Amino acid sequence: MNNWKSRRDAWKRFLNWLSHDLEQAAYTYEAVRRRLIIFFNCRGCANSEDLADKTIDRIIGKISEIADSYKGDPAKYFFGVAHYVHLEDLRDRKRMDGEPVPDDFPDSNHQEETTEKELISRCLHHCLQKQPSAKRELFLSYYQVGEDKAEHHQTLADERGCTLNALRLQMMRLRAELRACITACRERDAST
Amino acid sequence: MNWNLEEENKIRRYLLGDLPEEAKQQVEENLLRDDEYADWLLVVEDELIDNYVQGALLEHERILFEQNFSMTPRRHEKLMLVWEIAAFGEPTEVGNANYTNEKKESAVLSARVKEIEVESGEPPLIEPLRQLRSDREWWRSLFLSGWKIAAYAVIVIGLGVGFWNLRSSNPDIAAVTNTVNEVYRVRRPLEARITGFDYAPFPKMAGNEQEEVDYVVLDRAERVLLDAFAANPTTEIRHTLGCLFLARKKFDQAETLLREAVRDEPSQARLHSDLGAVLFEKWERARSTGQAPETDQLKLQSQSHLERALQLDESLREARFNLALLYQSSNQPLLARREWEILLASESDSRARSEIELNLKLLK
Repeated sequence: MNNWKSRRDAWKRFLNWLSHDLEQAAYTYEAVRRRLIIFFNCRGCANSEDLADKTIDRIIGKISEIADSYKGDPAKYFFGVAHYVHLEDLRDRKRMDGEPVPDDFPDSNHQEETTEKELISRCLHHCLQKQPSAKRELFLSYYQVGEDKAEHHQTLADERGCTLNALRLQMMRLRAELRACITACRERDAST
Repeated sequence: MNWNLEEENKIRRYLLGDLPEEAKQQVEENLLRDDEYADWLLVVEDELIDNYVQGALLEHERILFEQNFSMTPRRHEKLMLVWEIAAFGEPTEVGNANYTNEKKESAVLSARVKEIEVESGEPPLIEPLRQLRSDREWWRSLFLSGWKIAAYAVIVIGLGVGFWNLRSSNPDIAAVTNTVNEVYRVRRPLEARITGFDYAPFPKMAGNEQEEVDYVVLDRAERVLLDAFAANPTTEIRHTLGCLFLARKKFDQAETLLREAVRDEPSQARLHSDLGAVLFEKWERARSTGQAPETDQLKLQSQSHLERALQLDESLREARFNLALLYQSSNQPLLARREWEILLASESDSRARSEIELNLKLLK
């Protein structure tokens, strides 16, 4: 019971450290977690979500020491802890496997990949259909590759009255939406 | 934060595992600090994967991508999606009864896409995607085995030699080329090297110093080539005239002609090399006038053409020389050193060797 209470207190202090406004703190927490997942993904970790949670847990465990005393840039602190968690993970994996995990570079011609591709293909069609026609048209146009891709994307941006960078961000979000939809579609397919 | 190409390039190099430790840590700290930065990192990551699948990465980037870009499950999902986008519109053969409905959905979607194309008067959307897929497969199939690589090398070298013979076989053009070569025998006109011109040093001049060249001879050569071009606009004349414009620092005209020449004969290494030289010179000039962010595209395009030239003919000195200059100017010393050293190993002209050795010293 005491353990649960101290953990709840540590959580509160952690959120308070992120922001004095609780709503803002919750938002910041989500943002920090997302960035940590990207960080671990960039470092090649397959379990990036687990490691992000582990990093946050580690910081929460230290919150009584850092909340009042740590004066620097929180990003540096997050970086330090995340870096350490990553090194631990590498060490643990080496222990379990005896050697580093080889990179799993997919081969488009491999049979399992082919089956997966067929499934993704069906899901992509399905997910594209669920998109509003304007978004669908944008998506398809964006991948219409001609002589000069950069010029083509600039034209698309001009037609939509936005900058090229805004278009690229929009496309990144659209791809993320489609991937989420495809993941859900694949899970549905697997359960039926 | 203000987004700029320099930062984007840094992220790209970070994702490719091509950043020194300190810069890498800086990227990771920025990533953990700033949501917008994280978004941009995802944009660059997505685009790297797109470019890889489309075979649009520069050669050294492709090597780094395959060596260093760890395929986590998230990235694997991204890659699979892009592969599928590339294949979008192709009929899928699945021996599954449920597929009939999906096939119908696919047909409905295709019909809708076609409607959109018709309504907007845009060119077909699905066909280019299908084309992209088949292009990629074609490109991959080229490199299936060692004997094929050897065979293509023979073909490419043969084409290169054939083109050079073709150039010299036209007496008018050959005479003009020789004359222009004479004008620039003592001092080459640009830092970049142009194919077909013998090596000449490029001493840097003071700001008020004037170039001493025979403008009358150059004007006449230009007129002869323009007349020949008006009568018969072959790739050969386009190329020669483009090189003359380049030497005379008429960069826009040179770019137009050389782009057309590359479009007509995309397998000619010299065309890519000279177009790469124009773009390099334009990039250098724009950079020195403080237009860095807008001009990074010029640098990337220049690099892409120079690398293409070397893919087609790895012995083409001018292309390697220009690529080394480009790396050196864009603060990529390791890549620059590698190119200079390769060049030095095969260079017999003592003046050219001196210039290369000087650049290697500067890099140190």
